[in-house]
Amino acid sequence: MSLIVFLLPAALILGVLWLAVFFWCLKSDQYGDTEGAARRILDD
Amino acid sequence: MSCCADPRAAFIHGLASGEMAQQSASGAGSELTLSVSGLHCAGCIGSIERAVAALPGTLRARVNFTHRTVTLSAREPPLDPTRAIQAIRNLGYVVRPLSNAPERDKEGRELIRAIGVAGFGAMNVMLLSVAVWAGADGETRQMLNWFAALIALPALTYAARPFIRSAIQAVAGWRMNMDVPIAVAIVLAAGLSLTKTIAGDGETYFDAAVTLTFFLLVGRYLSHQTRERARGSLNRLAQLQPSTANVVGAGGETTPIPVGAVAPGMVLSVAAGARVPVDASMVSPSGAFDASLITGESKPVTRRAGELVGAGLLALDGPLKVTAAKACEDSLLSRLSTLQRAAEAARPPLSRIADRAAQVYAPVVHLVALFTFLGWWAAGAGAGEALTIAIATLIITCPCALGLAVPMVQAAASDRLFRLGLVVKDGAALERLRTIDEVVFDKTGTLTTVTLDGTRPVDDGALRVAASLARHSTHPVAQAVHGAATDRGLHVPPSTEIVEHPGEGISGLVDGCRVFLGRKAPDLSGGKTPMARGAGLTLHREGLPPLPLTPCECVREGARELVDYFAERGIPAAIVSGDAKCAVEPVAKALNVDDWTADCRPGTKVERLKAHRARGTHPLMIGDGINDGPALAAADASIAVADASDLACAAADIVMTTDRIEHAGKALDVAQRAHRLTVENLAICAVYNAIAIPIAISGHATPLVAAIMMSTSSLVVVANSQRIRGDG
Repeated sequence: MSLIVFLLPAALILGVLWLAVFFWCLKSDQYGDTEGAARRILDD
Repeated sequence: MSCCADPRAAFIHGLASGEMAQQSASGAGSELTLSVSGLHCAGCIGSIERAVAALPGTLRARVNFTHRTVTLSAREPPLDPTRAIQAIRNLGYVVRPLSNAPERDKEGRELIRAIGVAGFGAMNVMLLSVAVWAGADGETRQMLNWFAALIALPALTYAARPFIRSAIQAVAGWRMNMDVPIAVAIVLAAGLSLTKTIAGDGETYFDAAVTLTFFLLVGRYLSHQTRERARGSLNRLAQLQPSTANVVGAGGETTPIPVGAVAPGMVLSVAAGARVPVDASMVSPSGAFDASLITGESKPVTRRAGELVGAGLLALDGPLKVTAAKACEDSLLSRLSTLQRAAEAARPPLSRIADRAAQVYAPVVHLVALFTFLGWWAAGAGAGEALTIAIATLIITCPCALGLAVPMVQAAASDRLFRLGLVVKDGAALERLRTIDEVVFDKTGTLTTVTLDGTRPVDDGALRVAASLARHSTHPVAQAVHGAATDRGLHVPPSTEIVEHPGEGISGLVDGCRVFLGRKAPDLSGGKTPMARGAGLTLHREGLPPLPLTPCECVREGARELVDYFAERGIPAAIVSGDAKCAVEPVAKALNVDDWTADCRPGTKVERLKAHRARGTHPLMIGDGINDGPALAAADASIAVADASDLACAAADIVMTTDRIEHAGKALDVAQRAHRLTVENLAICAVYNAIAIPIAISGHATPLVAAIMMSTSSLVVVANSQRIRGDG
């Protein structure tokens, strides 16, 4: 039971962290050209 | 690429070098976005980026494969787009300048952020719910509920905004849409759960509310994306109209003023190669004009003093003086767009199954939920329990799968067509396209292209000289000459003392040598030879024998295939053209089209389509010129081919970005398959509702189960729609 006091906030913090990273990706246009990114790897 | 020979190349060059570069210049450098079609693989990305980055002054070139665009940035604002366009064309791709840098898709971004927030909320709330189901009770359960409320309420406040806003708008306008039951269900589920959490008893349904929001947002985003993708090719008509007019003052000096400020009676000066800004009458003794964008006729027309010149005509020699006869709004181009708007209004009401379903179905959903609540309450259940069952019913009957059934198929179909080089502007167009039973083609630019005759090659030196003159003219034949030179990668020398001789040709000084490019005087009647070939274009150079150049209007590659394709399906084809009979007949013969009409004005084309529709047939119009705009809008369904004029693009349901015209036939296949899938989807919805609604009303479904069932039905519909990408 006492463990839940740590686990819950930990889960929440990780979740918020993920959300922050997601927003950052969105802002820096990481999803602007998903198809191109997949193909660029073949061109060097 | 034959695209350089297209009559509209002039427009593209004009557009590219003028307004566009200015518009996109911002901050320190400037950015320019071009649409490129024909991208297939990583190699394409690499070669385009390398070719463009090698141009002097370019800082960076980035291909966006998803949107099929190239964005160039330069250090200095004057970035020359024509060179970039040419560089990419030389690689064999079809390029179109985009009038504006693609604007940030605000709505889409809001939806994505909302999806992120809802996803975060759904994951965490579900985690807590699992703990509750696992048997947490008493204080632990109370704490978990509070945590869930803490996450769900802010997440919903943020993520459910798109639905709630749209629902409020609908209700305020006394309308019903799909978002009303969604918003009611979300608000009720969250509100009821909060009351229960505060009271400290019973189950909560935060999980249901957040999961529902998440899945609905995903569906909403997918359909939003389709619409957004199609929007890029719209509304560039305004750029076609010249934005400034040169007014000649009393002392003979010219002052540029905005076209909107032109008043009747003003004397205007029109430079060679410029468009007449408003309807006007000639003051100069005579002048030649290219009316090909208005009438489709590629031979120049001559106007004498006192005669009327319509807005949008291209002056071939100049500068010419004209007196404005009308203000901008009344002018010919404006008339054309009015004609088009009227034709659009006459279109059959869009059979949007989803919208109709929402209007009929959404009130039913509310009534069913209300009666479920009243029924259970009357039967002795507590208000809380009755409300829970009512919410579950509301969620289960929520017409989301129904709402997705049509747009998802349209999204998948549009995407498939996009890959074939066809941009669908309006999803409902696919429904109309499916039912077409005849096809009407424009000729010039659609079924044919003007090129230099490849069987009689001209040496590079002569072509350079010819192109040097030809680039000063916007005539389709001159554009073909210039296009041939650029195709060969020749350096075109500068020319001076350019004079355009109305209907005859163009003369000037190239490399210190007097040169004339045009038709021989006795050949002026011309055009009687097959395929409108040999209009007698000759290059006269001082001290050299005249050199004939043979421009020919040839049937476009793939046009035959396309006509045969329709013939195989028993769909009769017809040609309506603004060109003269002698130019249309051979093309019609070559393509085995019996039904053809020449000398059509834009109004005549519209009349013809209207007559066909009055007979009960459903014509598909395929065209490209400004003159086709109203006809494209008047047809049941319409396709504008690659490099079509902006008016045509604006009027058509589908805009091609590839020059492989035979792909137009595939649109029909996709439309028919899309219809089958739509019917399947609607059947899935019907079966789902028939099973799920009784379960919900009888009280056997909790709101979470309801949310999951509802989401599953939606996802099945989404998955089924993707099948359009597969077979065939």
